[in-house]
Amino acid sequence: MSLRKLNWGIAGLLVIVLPSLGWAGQPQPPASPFKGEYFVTRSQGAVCVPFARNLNQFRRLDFDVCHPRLSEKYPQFTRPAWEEIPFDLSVAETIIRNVAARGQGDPYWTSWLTGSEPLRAEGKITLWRTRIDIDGDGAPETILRLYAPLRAAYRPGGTMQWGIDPNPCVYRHNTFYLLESPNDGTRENFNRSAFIMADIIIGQSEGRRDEYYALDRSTFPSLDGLNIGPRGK
Amino acid sequence: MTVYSLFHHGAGRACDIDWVPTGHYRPLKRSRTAP
Repeated sequence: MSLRKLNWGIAGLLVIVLPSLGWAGQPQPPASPFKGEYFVTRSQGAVCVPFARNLNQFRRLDFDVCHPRLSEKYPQFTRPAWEEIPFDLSVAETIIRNVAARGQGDPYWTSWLTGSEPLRAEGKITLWRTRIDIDGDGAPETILRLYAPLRAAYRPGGTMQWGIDPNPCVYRHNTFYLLESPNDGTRENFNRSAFIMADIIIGQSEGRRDEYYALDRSTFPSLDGLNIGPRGK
Repeated sequence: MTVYSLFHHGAGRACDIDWVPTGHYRPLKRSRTAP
């Protein structure tokens, strides 16, 4: 194929492809009243696009504004009903130790204990309980939620220090623990994954049972911008 | 953010949803998620 024919071929391809991309790859207008937009970049379930559309009902809010972000236009998304239970330090210890890296339970717990002391003294760390059937076997699991608006930071040398998060949010600062389940596998797998969970959402679809989803704390957009945008991971 | 399904023993990855601030480049892949 001659070079001229090849060039015409590429030009023809661009004529076909560019209009179909539309705005893709273009910067959004800086004068937009919206702070940003959520995009699905990887989808393995029917929940993804409707949930992102639900989130996009709140585009006038910046990503770090604490808000439930469940729109009346998408009533299929809700949160479990949580019942507050009296704060119990030994229960908190079980929950916190469960999310510590293997072999790091003691330093993780003791640093959390020190960092959380001011908030515990003010009664700002709370415990909640819900009963939901996450595995669909007909028998509900009992799940605990520890709300503690703390943020961990690693100091030079690798030691961890917990401090009070200046932007507390009940939809982010949670640690979960599956306390009771008739299914040992469900309990073990939930608690093994609990360290990533910041929030639990219910998704309902017509003719199907409730399905439960966890939002990964490590992939929330972060204040330092590390997790913003498709290249920010 | 990554969304995990809690069905079937624990956490199975369901979706990745990115937040793109206004004025920044949007992802090339179009997901039709605008309201």
